[in-house]
Amino acid sequence: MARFAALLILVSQLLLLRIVFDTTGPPSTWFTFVGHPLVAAGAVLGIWALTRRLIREAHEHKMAEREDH
Amino acid sequence: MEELGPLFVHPYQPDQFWILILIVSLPAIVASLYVLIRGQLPAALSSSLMILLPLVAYLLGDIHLMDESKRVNYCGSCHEAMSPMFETMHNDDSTLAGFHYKRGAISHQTACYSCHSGYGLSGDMTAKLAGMRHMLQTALGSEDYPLRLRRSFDIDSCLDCHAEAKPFRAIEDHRELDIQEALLARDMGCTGECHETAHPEEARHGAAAFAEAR
Repeated sequence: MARFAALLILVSQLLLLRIVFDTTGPPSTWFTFVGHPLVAAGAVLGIWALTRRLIREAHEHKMAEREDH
Repeated sequence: MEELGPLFVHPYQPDQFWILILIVSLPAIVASLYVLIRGQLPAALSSSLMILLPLVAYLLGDIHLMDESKRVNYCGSCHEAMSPMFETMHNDDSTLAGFHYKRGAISHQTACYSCHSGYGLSGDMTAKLAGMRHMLQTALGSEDYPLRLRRSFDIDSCLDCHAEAKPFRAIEDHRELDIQEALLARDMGCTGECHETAHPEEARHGAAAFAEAR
């Protein structure tokens, strides 16, 4: 999940870099209609992956504390 | 241009906004590559590098593109639909658009946007939405020729410069109350009846048809 989010973010940032160096028609079209959905999906997946990881780590921490006791 | 001296070089210089975009975007790219290879980032860095920075970079990119898309070169980059307009504006000063452009009555950097954006903030917003529709049409190749305005031209764009100009006020027809009321009620426009259309008819049919006509 985290890798897929990273892939979406990476592609979206590369589309962003295209308009930094060339703001003519085709790069701006890709940036607008492909880049925005990709970065939004990447951010949502990133939040999802991070939340799952934090919950898992909290659970593991709790289990470790129980074992210590 | 250079042989005329530096006074004749347009003072407009592209802003350095792109540097800010790079500063925000490059860490996000590096973090993405790191996650792709290693599987995850430290949790404390994930939220900022993988979520916030890419979104902020896109926000900056939107601002950058909004500004750059006002430029004539941007409009002209949609070759099939816009290059005839672009060419006639540059080379044919017998048309209304070419006349304004060649005389420097509108900015050479933002000529298309100056006339087609409408007046005020709502004009800017409408122009941006229309621009997105044009981008989609160009990407899908679904332009409908001959190109035509979806609604009557916003004469406030003309009046923004002309309303207080002495030569404009001196024209007898402009002082006719009936004509003024018809114009302000949008029952008639500046072009089409009294003034010729801004772009030549053959330029509305796309680059291929324009090349054949010429």
